[in-house]
Amino acid sequence: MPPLLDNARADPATRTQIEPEVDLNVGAALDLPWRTIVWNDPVNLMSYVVYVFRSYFGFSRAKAERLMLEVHNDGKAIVAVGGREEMERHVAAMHDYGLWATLEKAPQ
Amino acid sequence: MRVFRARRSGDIEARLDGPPRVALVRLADEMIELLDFDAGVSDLGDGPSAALDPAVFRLVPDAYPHDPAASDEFRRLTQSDVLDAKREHARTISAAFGAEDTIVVLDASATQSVLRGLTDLRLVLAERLDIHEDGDEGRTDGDSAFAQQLYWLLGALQEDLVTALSH
Repeated sequence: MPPLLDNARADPATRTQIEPEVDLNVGAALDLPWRTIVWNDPVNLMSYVVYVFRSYFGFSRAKAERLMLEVHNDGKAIVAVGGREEMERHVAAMHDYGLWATLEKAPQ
Repeated sequence: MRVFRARRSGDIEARLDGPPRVALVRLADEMIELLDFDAGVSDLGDGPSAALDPAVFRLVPDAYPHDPAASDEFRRLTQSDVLDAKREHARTISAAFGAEDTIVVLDASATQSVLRGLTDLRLVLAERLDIHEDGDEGRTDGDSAFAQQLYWLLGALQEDLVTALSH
């Protein structure tokens, strides 16, 4: 799917404007078929979830807040895509932070 | 509630006294007991998740919700490390706030342990209070009133610590 690969090569400024869709599709195109998902729970504070996304994944405040709101409003958010071992490391790390995280294979 | 403050050095200082401090240490000690007890029980077999206390299960949820075999394998590989880390978080809280010092000083590593340990304590209390979804107020019967107070105290402490870390 050429458009996806074009997006992957686009300059960083352009990429940030069109994520997260681009991130995920590029992941699939590069055979990185696993996803780390963080689920909504009534316990974790919104400020804490943003803090975890920023400090663990290194996301910008804007991206961390957007993903936190996605978790809060939609019940879950995909926070990382990649190889299975890497996603398992992320899930264990999220459990250490006390976040409810799972992994799953991306749809083919 | 203003308990935590960032120092110029990057350390975090905490001023907490009275009943909230006593309650926090007691809860952390109970968490250590819970994890020690569960570690003993889960060694008995029947798969790594079979014997988990529901509150501990909440600390280490299934990694593969639709694949029990993969979840069990994930537990075999990671669960004891994650729970050991959680025990260490609780120990850090207990040691720091169980000491005599009026002002508790936390370095970066201790701060992370306290932050995550507060989350763990809230997760366990939420399970005991039947708080499972947004909007759940949880049990309010007589025995639960104190747990409710602790749950909200821990939330206020955590919010305050996140604020101190974000400045």
